[in-house]
Amino acid sequence: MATAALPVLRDTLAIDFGACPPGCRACAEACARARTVGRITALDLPEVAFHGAVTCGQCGEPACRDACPTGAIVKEDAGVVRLSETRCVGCGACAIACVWGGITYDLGRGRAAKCDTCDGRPACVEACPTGTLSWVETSSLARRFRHPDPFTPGVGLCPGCAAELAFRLTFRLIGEDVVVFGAPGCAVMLVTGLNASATTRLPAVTGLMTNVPSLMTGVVRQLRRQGRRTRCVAFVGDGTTADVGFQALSGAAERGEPVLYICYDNEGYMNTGVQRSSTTQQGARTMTTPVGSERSGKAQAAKDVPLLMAFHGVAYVATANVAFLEDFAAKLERALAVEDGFAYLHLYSPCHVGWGAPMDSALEIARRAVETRVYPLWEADHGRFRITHPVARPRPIDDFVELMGRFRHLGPAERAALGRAADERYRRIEALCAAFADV
Amino acid sequence: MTTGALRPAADVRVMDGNKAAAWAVLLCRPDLLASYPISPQTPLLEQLYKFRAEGRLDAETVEVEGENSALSAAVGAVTAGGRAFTATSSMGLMFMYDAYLYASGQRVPVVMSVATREQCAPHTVSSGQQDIMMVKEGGWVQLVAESCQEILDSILVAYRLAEDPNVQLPVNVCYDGYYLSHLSEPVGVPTQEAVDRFLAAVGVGKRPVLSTEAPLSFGAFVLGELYAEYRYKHCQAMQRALDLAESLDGEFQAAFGRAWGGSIEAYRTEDAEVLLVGTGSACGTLKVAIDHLRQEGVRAGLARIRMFRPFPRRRLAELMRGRRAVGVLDRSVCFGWNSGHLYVDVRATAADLEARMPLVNFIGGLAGADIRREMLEDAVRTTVARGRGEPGPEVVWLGLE
Repeated sequence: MATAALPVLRDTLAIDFGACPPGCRACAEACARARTVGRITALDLPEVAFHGAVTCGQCGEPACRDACPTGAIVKEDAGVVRLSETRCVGCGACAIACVWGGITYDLGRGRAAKCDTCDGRPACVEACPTGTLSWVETSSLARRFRHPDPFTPGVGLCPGCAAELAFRLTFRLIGEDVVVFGAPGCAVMLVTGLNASATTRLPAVTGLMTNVPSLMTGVVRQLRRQGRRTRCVAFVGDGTTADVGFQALSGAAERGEPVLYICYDNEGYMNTGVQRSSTTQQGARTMTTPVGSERSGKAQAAKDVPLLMAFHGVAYVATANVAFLEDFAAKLERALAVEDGFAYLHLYSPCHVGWGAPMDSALEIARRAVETRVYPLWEADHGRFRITHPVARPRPIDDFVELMGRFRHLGPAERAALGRAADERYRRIEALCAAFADV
Repeated sequence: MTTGALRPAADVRVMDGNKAAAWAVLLCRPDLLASYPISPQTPLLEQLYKFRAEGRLDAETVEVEGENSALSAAVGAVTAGGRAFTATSSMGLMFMYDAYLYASGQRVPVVMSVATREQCAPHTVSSGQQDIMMVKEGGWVQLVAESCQEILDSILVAYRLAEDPNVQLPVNVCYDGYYLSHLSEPVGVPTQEAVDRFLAAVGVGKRPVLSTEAPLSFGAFVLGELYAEYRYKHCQAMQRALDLAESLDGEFQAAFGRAWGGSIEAYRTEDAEVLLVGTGSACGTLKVAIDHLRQEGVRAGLARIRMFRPFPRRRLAELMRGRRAVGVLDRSVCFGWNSGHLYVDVRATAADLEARMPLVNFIGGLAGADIRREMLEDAVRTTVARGRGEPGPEVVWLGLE
């Protein structure tokens, strides 16, 4: 199988302005020491309460390059916008063109100067005492999703579907020594094929909503019997997982079958037209929990399936979220490291159609679900609980609720109740972490 | 009598039907066993797990949490190239019905025995054949045994049928709960070598399986014409299973010295004026009743249905042709037809004949109720009387009316 080119994801300098203390100039001083003339500016503007570092953002379409009359500035394949000091004539056009203040001027030599990231080991980052500056290895994330996408393009899922994105990424990480399992639901479109056309080049099994873990049991036992370590991985929805197929899931988990079961949770029966499931959040409007004079969305709280799975005592359980890909990738890797036990990933996957949100909103909803504590990111690795993305200061619940039409009918009291429930959920996991940190 | 008497040999042991099934499974060398306890098949399952614990059976065992999972795990193993076995009864069969249809529609050659039992409600844990009748349209091959020996032999045949590349269908081996599952009889246990030779024609490498080398999509979403093609081929395969069951009978006899008659055992039918039709262990009593009445000059014969699905319509029609009357013994009821299930099929088969004849249905043995010889002698006499033109109800409930 040919290896596809890496996606265009570059390592980059990241600046967290909120963490930059006033008066600190450590980055600029370190840069000046390393590179003769400073290419990063420590800005201190007390009148507008701004403290931060300003430097070149290595723009994708750099205005400085376009303004340069001698072609001294080029955008390199590795992402760096590089200035050739031999070709530079010191005209200053680049500094005028850059609205970010990313170009400095070397008065001594009469040439422009700009950040080249110290070729991936920036002196400013090493000198920063507060973590304001960091070097983000986004290419390492790309390397984790290193396999070609084994699914055909053009599958009929909705534009903007988070589940499809997560599904493809999952198998880009897992690779091809795998049997993929699906069940009726949206994402099965990637597994099942249509008539005589396959939608994946992986061996694929489309089961029933009731029996996927049991089918996996038979397949994985037979493969192991043949001496194969081929992975058996399910990617199925919350209806299959939490409701009609829960018995088979519980059975396979209790027996410790060596499979990876991934539930993409879009909190409802979206493939049949948005009906509530047991993971639908309290208050949410669906076609079976409509809003009227006597009813106001789902009356019950969501079933916490990942916790239920953790209490089965299986090898690995984690929650994951497509808006936190580093975390997701790390959990997939830990789940795959489990060779002889049951691994379960519960993947938060907003359905913008069913949740009443714009087509491009799935990732933002997912991000805010974590930041408001609605959806804590945690894992239980052989019984050791750990929150993998702590949320010390949660955003107000309204930041989450306001993104979706399914909560539009909720009044302030009901929203506040959702916030309290989210907080309780988070603190429950915290308590488990405290109790079972070193089992 | 066409059923094979045992050859005198040292391999004859006394065992009940469940043990006979377990021995058959052991000899077929399955890769995976999955089962969920339900009476009256449970002792079969226990015996297999005992074989496994003792190291006599090299198979994966899956102690599942329900019957749907039992069948599904077996389906999974077969999909990946293995040979699998499961067993159930009654409501267990109902609880796996979605997987049951999945197995046949996907053409998964799994073998499952059914120790037959009545259905709820009302609650009962008694013998009956209602359970296998409730799934008869599920696209499986269904064999029905009369004796413990036949249970063992039918399971060997079941794997030949199921895994035959021209069939590739799941097969049920059905035997009456308690009457056979818990009844001890002498059973000849074939040698492993003989079974290996008999099964050599089928097995690994003879059908497409899941693999990373040659990936396939299993369980595809299918519409319209291709769906019709699936169904057409399934129907064709069912008919090939019928033909194969007839030819395998001779091969089985050559291998093991016993013949069973293929899809139907014809008992004293050559000169019979009336024909009785039945299936399962009650046919043993029926044979005795027929023998007894023949001493009085009543010329009755029996067509014992051994393969209930696909239904041996052509052979049964031949056996029915020219009889004065046909009586059908059912241990189940077909709601809405006001008769037994087998009767519906026999009545449909009668339409293949040029001449009409009186048909009468006897329903008995529900929930383990006795079917005594005298009751069946009455049934035969009633059939004879109908043949003479005497009127009477189409359906007679034994012991009730």
